[in-house]
Amino acid sequence: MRTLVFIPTLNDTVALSALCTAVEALGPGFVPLVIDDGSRVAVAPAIDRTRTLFFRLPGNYGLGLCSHIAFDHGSAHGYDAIVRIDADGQHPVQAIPRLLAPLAEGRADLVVGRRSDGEGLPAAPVRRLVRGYYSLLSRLITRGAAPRDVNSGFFAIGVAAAARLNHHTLERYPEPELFVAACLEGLTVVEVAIEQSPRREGVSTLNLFQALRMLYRFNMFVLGALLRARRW
Amino acid sequence: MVIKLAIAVTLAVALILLVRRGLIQVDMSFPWLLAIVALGILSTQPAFVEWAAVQIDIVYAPIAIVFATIFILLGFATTLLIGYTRLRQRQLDIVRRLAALELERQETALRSHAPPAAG
Repeated sequence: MRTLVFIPTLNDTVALSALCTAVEALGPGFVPLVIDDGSRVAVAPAIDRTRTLFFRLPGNYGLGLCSHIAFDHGSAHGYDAIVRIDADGQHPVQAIPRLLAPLAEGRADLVVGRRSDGEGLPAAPVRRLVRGYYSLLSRLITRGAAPRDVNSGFFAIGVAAAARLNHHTLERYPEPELFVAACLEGLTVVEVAIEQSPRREGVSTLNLFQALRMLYRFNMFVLGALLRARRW
Repeated sequence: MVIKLAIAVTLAVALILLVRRGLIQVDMSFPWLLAIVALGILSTQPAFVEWAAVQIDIVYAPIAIVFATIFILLGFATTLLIGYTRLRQRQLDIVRRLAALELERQETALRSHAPPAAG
């Protein structure tokens, strides 16, 4: 399977080179695409530009635009699948073939890497509560079709499904909307368990305000989905 | 109190409708909704309203004019926000197009150097 592995980054450079090398080591069909979402630090020197696709956004636009760019490129250049992994080294590159297997077998259009939360952070109960809320709401409006971990940033999507979802406007932290939209569009979404590593560098961009805004956006999305469902 | 809450709810519903119609970008509407909720709750507290009025010397001034001014400014801000949302969407479209062109160039270069992929 010819696979585009896109790695959005914001100020994460330490793990980047090793990530790109690990992606290339998966096989000749795997091409890394690094999208620099307006980092304050120089990202380009950390990667081998002769073997890795790279685009630097002129500002911080968020993961939604990064996803659109990757979906556009994957759809236009004959890739079979698109995989997203984080640049901070939390997602196991060696798990990518396991994510791709259901796509290759035609069992799924979108495969989500469900995280086992082994991070042991003090905020884990709050995090679990918020994740539980997202999960509950997602499964309610999709009648159980949505994945349990709708906040996972590690997923693989078939290029036809990506092209189909590309007309949705994806904003910052687009994962829950993307997965729920996939279910509502009738695509098959499955989960594969992965072991998430602790963050190797930097801090999450998801602060309290961003988290509240994300929650608000998701609730607006759910409201819209419910209104559309009633119209149908 | 009912009228005050009704005004807050009406403003919140109007904001949600503007977002649903895609006229205001959802992220931009979040601080507005927070402000509506906070002011809606505070306006039901007479002690707070009186305290705020004393702080800015509005005790018996023509309050109607103050409110009219606020609503005119609210209208201006909404119009600007709708314009900003449209401009932002156009900017995102241009950045996407730019990325597509640049990555196409890189893809061509990458394929000309890479060994043929198996399978």
